[in-house]
Amino acid sequence: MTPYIRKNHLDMTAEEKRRFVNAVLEIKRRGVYDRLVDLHIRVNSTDYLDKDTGKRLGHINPGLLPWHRQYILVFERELRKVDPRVTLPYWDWTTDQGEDSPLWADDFMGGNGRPGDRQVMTGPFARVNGFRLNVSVVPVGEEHPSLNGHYTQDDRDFLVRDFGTIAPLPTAKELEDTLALPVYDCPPWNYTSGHTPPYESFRNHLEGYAKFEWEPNFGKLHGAGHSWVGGHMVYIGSPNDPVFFLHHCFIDKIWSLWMERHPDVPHYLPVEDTTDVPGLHTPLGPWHTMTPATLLDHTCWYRYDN
Amino acid sequence: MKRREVIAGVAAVAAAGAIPAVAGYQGASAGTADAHPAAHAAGEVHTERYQGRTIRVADHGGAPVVTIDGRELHLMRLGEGAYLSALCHYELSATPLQAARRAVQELRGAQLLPLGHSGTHQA
Repeated sequence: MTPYIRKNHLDMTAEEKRRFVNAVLEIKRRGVYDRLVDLHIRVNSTDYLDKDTGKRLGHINPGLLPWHRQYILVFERELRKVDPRVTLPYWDWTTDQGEDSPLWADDFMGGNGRPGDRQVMTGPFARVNGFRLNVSVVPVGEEHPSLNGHYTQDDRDFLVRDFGTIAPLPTAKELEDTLALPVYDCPPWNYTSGHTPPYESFRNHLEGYAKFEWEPNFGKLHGAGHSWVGGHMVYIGSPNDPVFFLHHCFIDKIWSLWMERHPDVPHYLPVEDTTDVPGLHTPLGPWHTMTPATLLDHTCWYRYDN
Repeated sequence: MKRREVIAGVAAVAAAGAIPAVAGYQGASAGTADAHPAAHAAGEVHTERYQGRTIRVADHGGAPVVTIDGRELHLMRLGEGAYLSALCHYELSATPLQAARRAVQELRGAQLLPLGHSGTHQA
């Protein structure tokens, strides 16, 4: 199979945007979209549980990059079942920072939330235009949620955005400094990895729970993309906002760039099976079809435009 | 006023607690009365009004339980002084109380859904 091309959304034609939006709306209609939101909430919840068994998979551990590579690939494949010409675009927030970007236009992601409740009122994903959030909560059983990972949210069924209130978007320098780090990740493989020189955690600096001593705040890069958009993008159900997938597509591209920049280092760590986090050959749940090793090279499925 | 400054103000008026300087986007925040659940006697409760909402932080057997207007906010403890909630999932809060205040800001008047909710919104 010939790999397809993922491109910057700024390079999409109006026709390509229309096809992308229509495919997203169609998988929403089919219930597939909401199942993917639910999946992210479940994995996200168990990634943070103070639990006795099982590995953390997708967040605040080395699995962040391979797990999300598979997650957005699953999303993209669902879109391509609807329309085989669709591919996932990315949002390069190091340069594409304006609230007037075509990203937020009425024919694509829609705009910022309105004053007050910050409800998104424009574009295809506005509640007033028919896009209703169904999974701002996941089913709750008898157990305490901290045991079963069933986290509730709130009673809003509309998309919320609040641009720029919590954090600024990342700069190109922030990205360059993190891309320069030559080590993928290091013990204890969590939110404290790479906090101090020599900063041996590309993953944690990209995820945003580590910073260099010259940087003012935690929450850069991946974290800042979530925080700048605000609203649902900072909640546990962040994929409720379709821009989540364009954001994580850029994170995926950054991992790819980093591998090109550092061809001779391990592109995933830990190599060995390790308590609490996926090793290089650990099948990633809930799919259990691929491992970090088999996800390292994406070029058999897709390539980036540059 | 930027929310960051609001948070900084909140942190500044809180009493300093013995927590390490690992925190969320706001950087190292001052601790609060709930700096660490283990510091509480069992059952000790902190209650406050914040932006018109009632926040309650209780200690249930060493685990902090936070409610906003009587409904539980789900909280995850990552380590010393590092909490995430369902409403602020990409920035660490230094204490359960800080997480609760951030959640109130994010709710913008919305209600947390009670336990036992069916899992989908009603039509």
